[in-house]
Amino acid sequence: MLGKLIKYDFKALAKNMFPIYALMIALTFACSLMIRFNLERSFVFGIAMFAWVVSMSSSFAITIWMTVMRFYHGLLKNEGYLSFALPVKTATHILAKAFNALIWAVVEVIALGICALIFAFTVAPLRDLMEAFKYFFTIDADFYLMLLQMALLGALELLAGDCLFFAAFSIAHLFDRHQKLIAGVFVVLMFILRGFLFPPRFSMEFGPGSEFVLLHPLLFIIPLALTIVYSLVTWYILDKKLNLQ
Amino acid sequence: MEWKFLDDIPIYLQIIERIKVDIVSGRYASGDKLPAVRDLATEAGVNPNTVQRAFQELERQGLVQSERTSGRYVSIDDEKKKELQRDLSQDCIRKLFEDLRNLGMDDQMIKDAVGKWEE
Amino acid sequence: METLVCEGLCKDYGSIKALNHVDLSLSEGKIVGLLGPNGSGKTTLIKMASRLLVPSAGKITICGEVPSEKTKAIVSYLPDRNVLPEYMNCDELVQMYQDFFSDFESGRAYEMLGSLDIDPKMPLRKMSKGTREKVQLILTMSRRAKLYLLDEPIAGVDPAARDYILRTIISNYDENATVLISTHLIADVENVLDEAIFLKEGRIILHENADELKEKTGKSIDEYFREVFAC
Repeated sequence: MLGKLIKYDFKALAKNMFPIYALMIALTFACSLMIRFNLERSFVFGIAMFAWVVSMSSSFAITIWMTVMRFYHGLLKNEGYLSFALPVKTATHILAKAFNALIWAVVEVIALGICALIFAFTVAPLRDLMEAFKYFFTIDADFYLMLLQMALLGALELLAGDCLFFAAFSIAHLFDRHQKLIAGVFVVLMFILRGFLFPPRFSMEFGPGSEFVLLHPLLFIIPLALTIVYSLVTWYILDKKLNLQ
Repeated sequence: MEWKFLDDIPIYLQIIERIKVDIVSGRYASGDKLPAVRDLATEAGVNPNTVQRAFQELERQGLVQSERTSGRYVSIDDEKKKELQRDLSQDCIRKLFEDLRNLGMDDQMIKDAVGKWEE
Repeated sequence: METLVCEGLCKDYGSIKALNHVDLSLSEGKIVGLLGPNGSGKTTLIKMASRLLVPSAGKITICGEVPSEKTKAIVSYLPDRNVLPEYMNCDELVQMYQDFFSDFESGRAYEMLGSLDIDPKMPLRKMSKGTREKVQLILTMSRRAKLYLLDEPIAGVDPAARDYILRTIISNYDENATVLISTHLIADVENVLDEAIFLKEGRIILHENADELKEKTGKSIDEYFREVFAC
């Protein structure tokens, strides 16, 4: 059932997200071409460049927001009547939404990667690219280990963030009105609380230092613990207090 | 065929009446198959159990026979058909008299009026 | 066998008692009317049977089981609003029902969609409200469920659509199943009912066989309802 839920959630978002990524990639290609042919001074380039920067910088926020909205509309608005009529456990619904968020984050990274490649191959001379390619093989294994840890950390932080929004909207759905506002206030409060309990300074001390190839476990444990807590809150509300109006 | 039901008479009785009229008028001949319960219920917009009840009553009265697998068939000989016609016509006449008495006519007046009636 | 049983079922919204100690037992093979004015608790009862709401007190069971993902597999629920995702078309929806409900028969769904000339490739967002309602009903009735919960299936539709809806229900429900139809339009459904339940301010004030009720009161259910609920 989990696989089927993820499939339908993915399809639902694909209709919105793929055009956005397509636009982003197209803008990258257009800008790269103009740079390649030295058209940087044209008015069109200015507009294209602006649109490109906006699309690149907002795409991550859009991806997260869309996966959160998939949770909200798919479970807590009219479509929730259908979702909760399916013979599926509440926990499976929540898991599906979390996986969906992760999958789209990966798609986003792939889209950004494609943009980077397009840009590099269009703008840079082939000789420079070959040099860069060779360079990758000379990098020390520690670099890749760090990269792996950063990716894991990013995924965990993303999950924690998504689950915070899930919990926020679940709590907000218990109220009859102003659900988005209530959810927003809750998210901000939780961010402040987190900043208070685990100040960023604390993270820095254990951060990637010159001698540490391994990041401090707390960096992983905190978002993992938050993910679990937020998921449990969400599960409790959806399973025991569901209130679709 | 449109189905219209009166509010004050149980629907299964109205269905029985309707099928009896169909038998007497020859719309259903002996040996004809009656529609399936679900089909008739859908057509008439009524509960299938209501149709079932009507069919059972018709069976009990010996007008319909059910074959376990193939459905229900009208089963009536000429004599029984006459009897049924008489029963149904009695109902019509009774109703006619009731209505005309309501208009203030006495039985003799009604009989005279019916005798002189030309359509 | 009992398909739906409620024992002392209550649901409060703050200080408002939407349902107040409801005891109810529905047996299989029956079409039951859940009749009451707006706000009498019809939707609340149906939502608790489909586990969209959790009871404040008391118990509700479906074929002996407390509502869960198990009962959802045997309950076919038609909500009182359009809930199908508008970005999907009928082909995708049929596939989805097929994927999730083992008792769904896509052949029947396509037959009904075809008889209404609905293009299975047209997204729901391009359909009229009435057509979307019919699609939702077709999907609901294409399942071989044990319990059908139909919340206001004929509210706000024209007479032709109303006839279509009632006929679709009659010709499709599984004969061993129970059909619970909630409505405030009694005249339109009364010929279809085996049993009638009157719900008033969260309490059941009557639960009787429809024919017996008519014979006992000498009135149509609609007339009797108006008498009971006269203000």
